[in-house]
Amino acid sequence: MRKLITATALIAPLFMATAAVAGPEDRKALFGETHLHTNRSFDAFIFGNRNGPDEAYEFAKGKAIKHPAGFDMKMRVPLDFQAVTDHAMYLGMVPAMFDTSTSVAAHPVATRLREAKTPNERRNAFGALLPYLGQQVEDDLLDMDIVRSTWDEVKEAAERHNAPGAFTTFIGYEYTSSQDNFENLHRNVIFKGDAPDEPFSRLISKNPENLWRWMDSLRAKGMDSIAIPHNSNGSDGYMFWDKTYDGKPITPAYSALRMRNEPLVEISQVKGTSETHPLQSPSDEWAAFEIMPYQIATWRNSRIEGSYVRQAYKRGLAMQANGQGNPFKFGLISASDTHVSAGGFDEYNYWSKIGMVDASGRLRGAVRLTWTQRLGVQLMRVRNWVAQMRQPEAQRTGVPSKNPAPGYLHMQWSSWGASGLAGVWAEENTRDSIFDAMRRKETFATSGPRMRVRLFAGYGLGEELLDDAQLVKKAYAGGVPMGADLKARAQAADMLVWATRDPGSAPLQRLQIIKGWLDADGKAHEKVFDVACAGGSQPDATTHRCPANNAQVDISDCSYSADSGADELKAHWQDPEYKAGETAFYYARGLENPTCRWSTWDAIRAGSPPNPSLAATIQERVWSSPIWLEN
Amino acid sequence: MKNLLQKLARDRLVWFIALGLGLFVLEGLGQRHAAQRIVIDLPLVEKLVAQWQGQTKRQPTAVELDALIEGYIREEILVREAQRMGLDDDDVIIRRRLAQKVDFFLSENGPADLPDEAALRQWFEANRARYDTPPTVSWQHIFAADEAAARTLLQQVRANPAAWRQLGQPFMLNRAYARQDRSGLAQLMGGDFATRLMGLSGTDWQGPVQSAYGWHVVKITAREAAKPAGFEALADRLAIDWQAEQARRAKQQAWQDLRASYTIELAPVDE
Repeated sequence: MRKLITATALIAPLFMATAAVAGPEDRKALFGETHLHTNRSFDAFIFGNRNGPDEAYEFAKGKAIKHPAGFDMKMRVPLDFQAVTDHAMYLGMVPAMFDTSTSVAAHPVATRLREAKTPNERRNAFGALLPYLGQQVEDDLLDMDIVRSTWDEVKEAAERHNAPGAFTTFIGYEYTSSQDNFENLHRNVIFKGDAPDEPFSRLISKNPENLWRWMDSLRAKGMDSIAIPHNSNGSDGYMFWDKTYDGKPITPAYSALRMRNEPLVEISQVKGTSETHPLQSPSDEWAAFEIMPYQIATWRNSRIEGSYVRQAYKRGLAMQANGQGNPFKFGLISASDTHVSAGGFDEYNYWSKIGMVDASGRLRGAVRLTWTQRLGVQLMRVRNWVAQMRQPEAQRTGVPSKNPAPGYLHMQWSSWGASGLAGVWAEENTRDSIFDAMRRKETFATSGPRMRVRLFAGYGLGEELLDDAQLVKKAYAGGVPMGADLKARAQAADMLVWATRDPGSAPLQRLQIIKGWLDADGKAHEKVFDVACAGGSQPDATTHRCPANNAQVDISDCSYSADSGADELKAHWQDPEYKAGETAFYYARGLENPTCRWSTWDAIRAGSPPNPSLAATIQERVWSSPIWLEN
Repeated sequence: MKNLLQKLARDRLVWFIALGLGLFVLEGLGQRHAAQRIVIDLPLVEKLVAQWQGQTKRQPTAVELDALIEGYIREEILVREAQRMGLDDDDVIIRRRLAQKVDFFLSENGPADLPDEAALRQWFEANRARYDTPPTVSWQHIFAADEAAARTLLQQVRANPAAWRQLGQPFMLNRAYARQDRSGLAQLMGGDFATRLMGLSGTDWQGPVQSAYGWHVVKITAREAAKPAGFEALADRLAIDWQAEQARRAKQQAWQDLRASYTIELAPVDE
């Protein structure tokens, strides 16, 4: 501890000296992780994770730590900031249940968990704990003393590793709420600085409005925080429902309460990407990206309507026009949601997230099974089906959909992926600077690689700025950055959009602007415009598409053509279809050339043919927060 | 028959055996008796009361104390019965717990005494790579997407060095960086760029140097050679690290000694 204080004291004057002169043009892209589980989370411990918050922070700083299956996990490039966000409900309880010197260890559920040996037994033992977390049985297990002392450990670890100017940590936790049955309404609560003595968990209330009111009350006492929802894709339509938690109409007060507390949404993470669904965006050729179709922790299909970000933005415009305020005016961020204390961000360096349960390519459904394994899988299916039928109907998690590739294991985590990374535009690598960036929504999200993106809108931001060494300074002076509002005028706004590649990943293929707007009849629309193309070609004026750049990836060894693709792409753009008086949102999306998906890497390493039902390649991408055009 | 009994009664050996048998039975009875006895003494009661106080922050009432003692009796009887039935023989949890305790004892040597300065210095020299600061450069750059443009920029900035911030194309990363080591540079701009930049001499504008993003006219504003760590400045930290390493070694040694005292046999497998 003393060492750390000295280090901080040494660094502090350095960044304070720059703080005096730092303006918006000095904002730099910092990369981080805002969603991570350690062994303090009930499920992560059961999955075999024994790494605590300290190990998670060491991993973020570039050290190798152990996966439960015994191999080393190490990042390609260390992170700038990180928050450890363990589940608040039952925080630290499962480690206590495994420690036979505690009284909770004697509970039958604890005994069953301890004695589980196979992945299947682990899953079933986990199933026995779920009714407690879902408050479906009388809770004779929870010990709040254990929860509070674990929360202290989480806070202390964050303080121990926070090194302003070098590596920033945030105190945080996950509020793991839902409607009655598996409709994911999870959010991560991130504190700007200090945090209260006890987290607000679903055991106190499942209604997120009560969480926000609790956050409001803390803010009044000088303790600021934000909540970041995630996996709207698995919410069965409830994350961006056009009603409140209780099914009442949304009011301006609700919208204000929500936006005050939830300025950001996690658009992409290991359990899929929630930008949009191909059925909602049929004219977006890139919409079918890392779609995870299930409700979280089940085989139930999640309703598409109300579960995806782009539709939420459109709903928000309509609600605002309807006098309800806009409850969905959020910026974008990505995170991993790993449960092994270490996020996997690269396709070729991926370990999924639930420890022993999905530790190998075979368990993830990427590597072909032997015939004896296939027989075992059939037996397991029958057993699981019988177990399901014994459950009350409301608690059934469903049975697997038909396996599209019978030679491979068919699991929910076959549709998971190596995503995602949080980006913020902040003056300094400090809690204040990063938190303020998140609050003003000057954030971006990537599907894993370290792409950077900027977006500005204003009037009089001419094309000549693109090659002006003072681009950023002039753009801030004459316009607004991502996450902000711009007042609409009679003519279309000037937009400057700019993306750079990750030096350690494939080059960029195209840069796009995605627009959503309300027409005169109050109907919402969306459109994807290519605005810059690799190779210097221009998008077609009618189709708004770049010519194909013929980037190739060889899925027998994952090599890709290095000659097509751009190191950076930038464009000046004015909406060619803008009509005065319309309200709209615009966000940028940059796409990489195709590369191998993790499942293909798994197959190649195991000498197996890739699973034909999984995408062999992926186009990694970066999303900016939108700019809203307001009337 | 009577004769035989009389004969036996006179035989000392028989008496000796009979006496032995009697003693054996008596001894057995006595043991059983002892095994069935549970002593509640003052130290035990004090322990139970202390545990109670730890949880409730008050003294137990007489009724509660009776219940505590009865609870202890129940636990003790069940444990003894379990042991009698051999239930502790192959219990995974009990084995793990016992192993944990001994593992804990292995590391329980307390902090090692601090070494004298000479020894600490010697250890520091042997491990100094962990403490040295790597060489760093502070640098500025002007960016261009292609090499020809970068060469033109080099001429321009040489003619007018004060205008460097106004020259070139915009670049999404910073225009100036302070004190970066090779690995930081490589993560930011790519490995080749890092090698080239670290190898440059002079402090004028030069280049261009290619990175993962394009071409850069660069100026090294400061170089700091690898800084050997100073013993005095680090003395406190060295002492802590030294102690940690001694503790690690002591534990490793204790384990190896323990391991060496066992013979491991591999049972042959029947074909």
